[in-house]
Parts: sequence; C-alpha cells; structure tokens
Amino acid sequence: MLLGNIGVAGGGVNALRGLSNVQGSTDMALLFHILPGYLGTPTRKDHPTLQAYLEKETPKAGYWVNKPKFFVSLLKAWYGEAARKDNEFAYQYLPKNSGNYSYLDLFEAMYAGKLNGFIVSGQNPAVSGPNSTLERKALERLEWLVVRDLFETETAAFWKGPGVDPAKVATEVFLLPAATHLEREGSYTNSGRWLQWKWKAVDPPGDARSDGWFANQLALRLKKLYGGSRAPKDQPILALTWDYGDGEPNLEKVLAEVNGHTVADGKPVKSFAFLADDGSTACGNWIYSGVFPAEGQNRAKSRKADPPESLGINAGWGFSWPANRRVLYNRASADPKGQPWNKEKALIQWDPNAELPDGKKGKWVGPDVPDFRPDLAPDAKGGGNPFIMRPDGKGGLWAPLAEGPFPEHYEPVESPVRNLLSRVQFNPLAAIYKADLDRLGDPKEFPIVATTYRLTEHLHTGSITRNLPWLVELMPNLFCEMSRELAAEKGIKNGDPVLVKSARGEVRAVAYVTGRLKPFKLGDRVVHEVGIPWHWGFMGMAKGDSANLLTPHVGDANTRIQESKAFLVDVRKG
Amino acid sequence: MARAILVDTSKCIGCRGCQVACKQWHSLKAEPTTFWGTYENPRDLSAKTWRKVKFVETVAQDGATRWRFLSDACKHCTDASCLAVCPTGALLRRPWGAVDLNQDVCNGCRYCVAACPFGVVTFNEETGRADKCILCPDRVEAGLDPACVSTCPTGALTFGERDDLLARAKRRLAELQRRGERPQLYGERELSGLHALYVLQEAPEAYGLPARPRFATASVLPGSLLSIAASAVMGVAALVAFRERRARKGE
Repeated sequence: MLLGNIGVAGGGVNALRGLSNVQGSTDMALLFHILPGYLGTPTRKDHPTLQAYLEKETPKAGYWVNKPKFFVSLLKAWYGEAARKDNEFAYQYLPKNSGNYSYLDLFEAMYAGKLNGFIVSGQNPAVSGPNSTLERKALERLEWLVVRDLFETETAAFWKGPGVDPAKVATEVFLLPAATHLEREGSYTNSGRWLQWKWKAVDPPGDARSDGWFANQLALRLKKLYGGSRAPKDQPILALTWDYGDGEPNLEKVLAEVNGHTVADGKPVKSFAFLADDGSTACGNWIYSGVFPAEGQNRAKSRKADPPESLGINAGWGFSWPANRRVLYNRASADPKGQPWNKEKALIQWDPNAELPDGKKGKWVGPDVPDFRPDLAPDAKGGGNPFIMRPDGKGGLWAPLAEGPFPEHYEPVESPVRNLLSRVQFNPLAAIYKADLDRLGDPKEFPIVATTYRLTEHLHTGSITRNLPWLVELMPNLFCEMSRELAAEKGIKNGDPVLVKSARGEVRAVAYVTGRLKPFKLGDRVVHEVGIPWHWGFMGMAKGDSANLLTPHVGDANTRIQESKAFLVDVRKG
Repeated sequence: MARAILVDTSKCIGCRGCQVACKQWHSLKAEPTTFWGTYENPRDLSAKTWRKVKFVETVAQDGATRWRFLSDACKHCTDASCLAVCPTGALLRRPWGAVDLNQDVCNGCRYCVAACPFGVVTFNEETGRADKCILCPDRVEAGLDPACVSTCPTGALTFGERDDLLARAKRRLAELQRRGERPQLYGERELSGLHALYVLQEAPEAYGLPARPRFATASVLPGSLLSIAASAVMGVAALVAFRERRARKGE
C-alpha cells in the first residue's frame, strides 16, 4: 500500500490459492466463523438476539453500515416465509457458535469422543491432517463416517490401516462414489474474484454423483425424515427453502437464489444496492449479487474477452464480485483530485461533466466499475477515502492479528534453538493441545529440523494422483531429502532406506542425499534439516507412510493453520 | 523448410509435463519404478518412455548448487545414423526434418539401437521392434505442435522453423551471457545439424550429451549390409517354400 500498488491495474491483493475454487468456497462460508458474504457467525455469548447481533456487528461508518440488509436478506433466502419480522426473521434457527470449530479443534473433539458423526467430501484427513496417528485414532471414536471421493481414500479405509484391528473398530463407514469436476457443472471463483461457469464434459461413471446431487439428497431426505415433526430442533431443517429439483439440482436456480430477489414478485435484484433489512428482499450471498441480474441471465457464463493489447479489465468475461468490479479500491488509482496517477492504466477518473441518471452532473467514469459512490466528487466530504469497507475510509497498516499489531519473531513450537530475538520462545497464542497423543519433542532426543512439502507430480494427499499410473511412475515412493553432511554423519548413502522419527510417530522413506539442502550454522552449532513430501498413504497404487505421522497438532494464533513446515525429528539408516 | 524443437533448459522447471504428454498422446504405458536417489524416473528412455526429463545437480566454482533439467528425446539428426543403417526403410525422413519410424516395416534388427550416438533409440521387447520419439508427425502435419511442446507451461519447449528457432536460441544465449551465465548452444552443427536445438546452462557432458556426437555408420554399415543380404535370402526362401506348399496342395 505504501508503494501505491493497491487499487491500480496490475496491483492489489492476489492470494495464491491452492485450489481452483478456494475463493468460492470461502465466499460461500466453508469456514466456521463466517456465513456467506463474510458475515460473522452468531455466537451464543454475544448475539442472543437478532437485534444484539446487528447492533454488535454493524459498524457506525463505512460500507458495512449496510450489514443488516445483507444479513436479513440471507435469513429470508434460507427460511423464506418462515422468516418474519415478528420472529427475528428466524434468526434463532441459526446455530450459535460457542467455541472454536476449526479443523484441529474438531479432531481434538473427535478424539475426546465428543463427535458422533462426520461427513468428509473430497478431503482426506487421515493423510493431510497433522499428527495422523491422533487423527486416525479419532476416526475410530465416531459412530458413523461418510466419505465421498473418487477412490477409497485412507480416511475411508482408516479401519484397515497400519496397526489397526478392524474387529475393534465400531465406526460405521459409508463410502459414496463422487463425480469429478469434469463430470458436473457449476461455477468456480478464482482469486481475482471472477465467477466462471463451467460445463459438464462427461457423465460420471457408475453410481458416482455430483456434490450438488449429494447436498440436494441430504436436504430432501432430512426434510422427509423430520416431516410433520413439531420438535423445535427439527424446525430449522423443515423451514429451509429448498426447491432445486429431485435429482441433480438445478444449479442456476441456486445461483439465482445467491444473487437475490425481491420477495413480492420474485424478480432478481440487479445488485446488493437493492437489498433491504425489512424482509422485502432475499439474497443468499450479498457479495455475489448481480451475477444473475435478470431471469435467464447468468453472467458467470459470459465470455467476452478484451483484446490482448488492452489493459485487461475483461469486464465481459465472467462476473467479478462485487458488482463486477475488477480491481478493488480502484479509487486509489486516481489522485485526490480524481485524475489517474497513470493515464495509460486509468481504471476510473472523475468527470465533472458526465451526466447522472437523474440529470445531475459529475461522476466517476472509466473501464472499471468504481469501487466508490459513483457521484461522490473528489472534493466532497469523504471524496478522497478509497477504502470504503473501513469505517474511516483509509487504508490500515496494522491488521487485526491475535498477537499483533507489532511483528515479532517467534521460534516454531518445536525448535532446536533458543529464540535470540525475543525473550518469548514461541508464539504465546499458538494453539497447542493436551491430549495424550499430542506429544512435543525434546531437541535433545530429536535434534533435526524437518519440513514437509508438495511435489509437482502429486496433488495433496495423492488420493487421485497416486492412482494415476503415469504420475506414480514419476514419483513412486516417499523419500527424505537431506544434505551430504547429514548423510555422512549418519552413514546414509543416496538411495538407502531411512527411518524418520518424531515425538508423534515414524515413517520409512528412501534417502535422497542432495546439495540442495545445507546444514545451518546457528551460533556455534550446526543444525541439520530434512525435507519430506506429504503425499503418501497406505491406499492407492503408490503406497507409503504419511509424513503427517510426524507433524504436531499445533495451530497458528490467527487461523490455526497447522505447523507442519518446521518441527523436530531424528533420522537413522534403516 | 526444416522444422525443429528448441529446448531452452534455462526456462525448464522440471515439471515433466512433456514426459507425460508424450505418453498420453502416443498411448505409452507407465513403467514400474522406484525412487532411486533422484527425482528422475524412469531411469532410461525406453519403448514406453520416448521423452524424459533429466535432473542434474551441479556444483559451481563458487560452491553454489544448481539443479538443472533437460527434456531429452530423439534429436532427429540430419546425419542420422539410425536411418543410414536401417535395412528395411522403417526409419524414414519426413520432408520437414523429423526422423519417423514406421513400425510395420521394422524387422527388429536393432542396428539403429546400436548406431544412435545419443542412445535414444530403444528396442521394444513386446513388439520386437524399435521405438523412439518421432516428433508427432500426425500432429505437426495437421498444424499442431508436438504433444510435449503444447503442454510446456514455461516456454522451455518451442517448435517451429529451424532457422527461426536458431535465431531465438542465439538471442537467448546472449541474454544469459549478459546475466553472467556461460550457456552453450547444442545442435546447430552437430551431425550436420539436429532438429532438436538446445540452450544449455552447463557443458553438454553434464547432461550426458556427447560433446562431439559421431555418425556411427562407419562401424555398423557392414553389419547392416549383411542384414540386408540375409533378409533377401530369407525372402527368396519364403517364396520358394510358399510355392512348394501351393504345389503340394494342387496335387
């Protein structure tokens, strides 16, 4: 921001996402702490009523003052006629958070026997989760487990994994065959926030079904199961609006619901600017509003590209939330007077003579949709405040971090060295768990630093790629990369079998002795590091130990991302 | 006009997309492999692996480790030893430069395998015939790039008019030199010119390429002639046998 790279063409925050639709799943609230459109999940403590929620969560200034419109419209989209003014728009149907439900916490709860059932769709925690020993053990404590995937993953097969006696596992496991992305339609949202529709290429084989089909059936069958019930706990399911067809759901109907409509006539709203907090509009996700502005007009399908030599706004290609803006905070591409900092890359600029729909003069014009009130002149109050989502309209240098605002160096929770830059050894707010299998290693016993990573040839847990012969041929076995110096110290030759051990578990791998890893000289000590890819597991064509048998259940202080990039091990030939 | 493939190793990231795309286009099966102390696999080019990426770790004079990648396959030499020794005409030259292989005509004599100065022609034990990269004539003659080129994400592999690629390679060489590297061009004059040109960041030997590849006919040709003679004798014998059998049937 200090260098002027925010709000300009070619600039901005461009998250490098690990999967094609991570942005979309976040927008649609895959995470436990948000509802669609980044509305905070209500908590039992702070938000007992709708009024309490709206009062606590709505800032006094900035664009978020509109939050009640988005929130009430979301309740209307979900609960339809059951959401009325006199019942807080069915606010009490929403579950209220009473704790942390992030991934690590869920598995700790499962391990503690507090979770009965678990539905896993296209994820393979038995390989991807840290401290796999604990997580696989946790699966044994479930009553039932549903896995939807393309192959029988390690998660689906945990009951017959290494060291597990199937006779002693009571969990009932359902493995449902899933369709791949090529076998279903839908939309992807990329990290430029573009919604792009994609079409089905081929039918799924056999009994494989799409994600949409599964979600649709789950809802329809739960509704049928609870049909006629007067129990309060069943009402949120019964009241849910759900009308997308019987089999494969009509996904354009879903997208139209996400876009929003006016309740009285059912007509799509053109954008979130038309949403209201009185129950007269319904909208499944306010930030996506505008993607389906009229009956039959799905803008995610639009495919008009700008010529290659142009600025590359591509306003006619897909739909970019919000309001088809391509560059967020684009007011910052113009100077305080409203003229572009760089004329060749102008996104918007103030034209005092341009006419507004109501006949008045003066508006922001340019190839991009202004991320700003279109008629707010540069010299008007707030006319120079580009960051409209913030109460003061100004950019912020300090992000609201749990351990912030000042940056500090902390050692990983497991580290072979003392923190030389701070009196505090590791992040005091890191999530550390205390179950019996949550063991941390002593550097005296485990003096070597380990890191885990991915390979080009395999995707994540390898559930697909370890079943593709051409990729298995390229990367057949788990290996452990180490420096020549460490190999010499341990008497290990390139290609030897090695045993890598941490406080949590051990893996067998093939040694890869390479000059690409170098010992660290830390003070008067030499510290070695090894690298282990985490793609392997006990199922599939290419089998091998999972690197996550070694990693700890430690989460970062803000998002609880697992600390699997730096932990302690020991290595020996064997 | 002669066409060629340009392999710019300075742009290669070792993703091996080319290696897999080749297998996909030509329906070549995967080979059983094990990790053997390098990312590289399978170990050698074979009837099932016509193109593979070599992973080379070098140590520079300043002690810095470099990881180099080379997408390796048939070089489609102008003076192609394999073609010269082939007794049956199974190996043939496409008008645009590629050394093609018509397996229907191959008799499995393996002279080409022995003659190739790069060791890229292999023998297919299952079909009893020779195998190698043929530079996708089916694609090229339909206006497409070879499969390996079309999948390369970084532009390390390009396909086109050989003269254009030579010019491009030389520009790239100059660019790398300005950066302080000591790159080499390989394939411009070797064996009267290869149809696979290489911008190398190390000496050819570092990648397992012969510094001076030699036309192998001199040593193999007599054997080849013998084979042709033998084929002729066998052909006549077969005809005689056929006539005799027909004669017996007629009795």
